[in-house]
Amino acid sequence: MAFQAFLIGLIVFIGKADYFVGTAMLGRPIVLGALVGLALGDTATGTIIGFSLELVFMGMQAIGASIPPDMIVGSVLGTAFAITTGNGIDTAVTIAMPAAVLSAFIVNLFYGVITPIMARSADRFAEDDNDRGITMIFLANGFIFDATFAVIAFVAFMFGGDAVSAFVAAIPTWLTTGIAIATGILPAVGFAQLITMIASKDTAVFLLLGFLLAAYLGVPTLGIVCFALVIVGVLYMAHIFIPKDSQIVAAEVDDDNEF
Amino acid sequence: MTTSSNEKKLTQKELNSIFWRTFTTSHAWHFERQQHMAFAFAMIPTIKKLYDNREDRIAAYKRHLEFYNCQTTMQPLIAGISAAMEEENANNEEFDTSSISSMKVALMGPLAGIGDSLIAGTLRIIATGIAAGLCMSGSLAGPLLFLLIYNIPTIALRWFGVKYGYGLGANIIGKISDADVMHKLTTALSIVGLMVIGAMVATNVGLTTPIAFDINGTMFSLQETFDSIFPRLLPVCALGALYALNKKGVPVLTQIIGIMVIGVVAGLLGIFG
Repeated sequence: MAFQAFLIGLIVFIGKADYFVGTAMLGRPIVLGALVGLALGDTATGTIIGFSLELVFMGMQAIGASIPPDMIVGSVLGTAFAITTGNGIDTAVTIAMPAAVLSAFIVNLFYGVITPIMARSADRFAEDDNDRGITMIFLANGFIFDATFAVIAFVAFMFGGDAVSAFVAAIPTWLTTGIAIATGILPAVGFAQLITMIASKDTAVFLLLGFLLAAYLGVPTLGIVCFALVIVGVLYMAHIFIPKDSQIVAAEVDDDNEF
Repeated sequence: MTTSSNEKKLTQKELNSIFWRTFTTSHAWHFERQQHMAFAFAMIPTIKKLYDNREDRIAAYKRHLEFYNCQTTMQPLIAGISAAMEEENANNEEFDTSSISSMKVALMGPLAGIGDSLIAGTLRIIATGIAAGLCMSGSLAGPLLFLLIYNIPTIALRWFGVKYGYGLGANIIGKISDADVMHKLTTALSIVGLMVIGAMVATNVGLTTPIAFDINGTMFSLQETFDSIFPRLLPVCALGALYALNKKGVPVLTQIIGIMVIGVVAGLLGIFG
């Protein structure tokens, strides 16, 4: 149990330290769920739950300076307790969501108070021409942050197991049903955010095309990507990539007037 | 003006250390100056190579400890340009160092927008979508495939970012704001991204209704009717509603709590399930 709790803490550390290794998406539920599965001896279940949580947290990505719920702590604890209590994805979501929201408060405490105060030392080292000092404060600052959440996850898994089991057993069926329904809808939150971010009036029709190919014809995702590449190729050949808001259109309009 | 005999020149060694050190972009992130320490950390070998004078080094460290925040994959490009400008500054007494800070501020916004929508918003989704099948069958190959599809292009982008950032120096601002190339690339990638999102809405948003009517002894299922007219109609409606909420600026947490409440109420009333 202690060793498993250590591994759970380590997985949270890896997820948090993703910021140190190129934001390589090691902190996504799709990866963390599989790691938790490996640690707890049920890789298949971990991977499946991790992917389901990935869908729930799909749109949650630190964009600019917005701080979303802490999906790293949420998904690691959610997957871990879903596996140890022998329950499925509904339990994982029931645990992951509150854990993620609570953990986000601690994240904000670091981002807003602890880290900025520590960062002042970097300024002092700069005044002293001390590059080792800048490096040290930079490394320490981030790794203290990562380690804090590893300890939180360790403690939660080590001592929270019974509490979570009792909690899960006490959940009435109307709530489980409700959360199961909500779990089905939640991925749409992320998709809606992504669409808000990347769709324009001109490109929205491709969203529908992807949907129809999958809904009516059952084309798998890789097939959808291939179709999309063909469409991009066709549009390129037909010279349809003309930015409406740029000078190019204006230049063409001018040309038309001249002729 | 310095003579050419002691002209300062960066070598591949410093550029390599920018490449490796920029992997740490969001480490020690905070609200006040965000990714500033990581940026200074990435510039340390360059600064030490270029400036023999203690005061110049101090000024450079302080310059790169100013506010900085951009999508992580874009940092090698901005750091590469910074390195070229620092090199110019080391060799040219006329050089105005405030232009280095201005360049960083000018580029971080647009590049963050491009990076967030193309990399976080599109590449990540494509990687998730392609890995979906393997993940759902519980295979470790799923997460591995996800990581490979995401990381191979982004690491390549980082490498070319340093290379071209340093190579083009300050001129790159002109290249990037040459909107045509960027617009074509953005449009092409958003087409791929949107089609994958559309497909994932169809396969991954689950919303059905158990409502059924008994008409003259024949059971009439509302869900079967939906399926025969427009498959996955309810997930699309949910998506449309959430999109409208996003447009109105309703916070994500509110949306999630709302969905939980709707789930419970609709479950009790037997509308969804």
